[in-house]
Amino acid sequence: MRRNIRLSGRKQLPANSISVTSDRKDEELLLNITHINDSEFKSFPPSAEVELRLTENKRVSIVSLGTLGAMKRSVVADGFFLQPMCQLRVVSKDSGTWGLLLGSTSAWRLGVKKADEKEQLVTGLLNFLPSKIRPRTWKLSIEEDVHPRFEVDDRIPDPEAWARSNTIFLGTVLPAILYQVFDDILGQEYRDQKQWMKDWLEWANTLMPGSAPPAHDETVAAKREWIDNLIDTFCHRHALSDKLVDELIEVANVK
Amino acid sequence: MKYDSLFEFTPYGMDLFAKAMTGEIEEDAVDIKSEKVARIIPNTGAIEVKDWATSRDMAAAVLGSMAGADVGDLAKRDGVWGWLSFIFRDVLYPRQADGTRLLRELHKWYPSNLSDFRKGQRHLVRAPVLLLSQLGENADHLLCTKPNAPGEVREQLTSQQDMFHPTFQAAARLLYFDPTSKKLKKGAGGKGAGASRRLARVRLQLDVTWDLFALSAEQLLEKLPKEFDKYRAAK
Repeated sequence: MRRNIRLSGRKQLPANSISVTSDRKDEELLLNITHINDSEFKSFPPSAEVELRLTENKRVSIVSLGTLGAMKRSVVADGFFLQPMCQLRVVSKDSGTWGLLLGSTSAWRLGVKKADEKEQLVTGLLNFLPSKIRPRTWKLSIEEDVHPRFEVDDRIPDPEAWARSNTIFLGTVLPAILYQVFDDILGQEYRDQKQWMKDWLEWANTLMPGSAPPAHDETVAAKREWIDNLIDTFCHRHALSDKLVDELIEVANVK
Repeated sequence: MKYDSLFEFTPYGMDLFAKAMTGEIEEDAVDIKSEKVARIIPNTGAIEVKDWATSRDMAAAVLGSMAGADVGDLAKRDGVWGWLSFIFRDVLYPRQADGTRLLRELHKWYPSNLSDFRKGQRHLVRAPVLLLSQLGENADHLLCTKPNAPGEVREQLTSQQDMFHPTFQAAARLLYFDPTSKKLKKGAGGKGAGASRRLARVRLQLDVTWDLFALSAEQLLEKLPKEFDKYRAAK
């Protein structure tokens, strides 16, 4: 008999519960806890263990920060990791509830350099990230635990503003991104277990209320049709083709 | 065929390798003795290409020749896995009746970005080597099939990043691997109750309730629903 396991009362901790920086020293990765938002941890017993889960390149490692009552501010991780995905987890060590996950953050990519901290703060559906991706102008990166990253050639002046406001971009690239993201989500059997996929599907539901997405084992044609309808709805709502045509006509008239 | 040490393709060599595998150029055109095509990897030993019975045997052979090198570092170097795919091509990607090689999907032979969570584990050489290196005998159930046929159990039980942890794989081994026959238990790769496909799903559900990394394999098995009983008991 199959059944779903009832989920616990695990607390979803905000990403800013903790700030972690990292430095490489010889063959090791030093993790430094630079800030802890104590108020987020008040409901947990001091005996609860705090740990960082690091994942990168098909390797996973748990780094203990000690207990909430005596938390370490600096720990050493395996030097294999360069810029791992990182998740903060608070775990019960009391005898009756030993091993129970009391709270956790969403995963974020640990910035090895200070400059990369900006990435940790971006929590939107699509994370804009200026990157050195020449000769490409944009690139979509889809990972397991975080919202997709939309990388834009960092030589474009104010690339995030450009991507959010340029009518050519919005009318041509964004539909392609929507297709790529939903093509990925609809192919996933476990989409309901991944927060970023749930967020995107909720967003789709605001555009097409009541239009349930096809299951992962539905036909390719059914998935394509659903995504196509979604893109139609999105483009219609934001009048993307009208805006693009208007702008092109305006440019032509100026010439 | 025996090689005195491991090599890695240069970017030029990777280009030739891709063309040779897909039949654009003759395989003989890939001169692996040329420094322009491949360079030796220091501190690696000899390797002999054999008709290995299992992926584990193949991975053990590769790890044996990597004994003096940093496997974690080599894991990230595409040229290593391209070179190994090329010298193992008759074992892993045999020729079909029409003369073309049975390549299946691209990333079974051409290494993808290792961090790509869907494709990173597909490579027919790199994946077994990393699994054996990281998990040892806890990877038995993932590596007990022929090297060119990884099967559904490996597909399912390497599909999530958090599965690359000894506790989870030790529990999966207890469920699905018969240490006597050294084969998978019947139904492990199927779609029925308690099969590996279900374990992948149930793991995600347990993961939001328990710190699975803190549990032993036996404790993890205890938390699984009754549908897994048939594999707990099966030999």
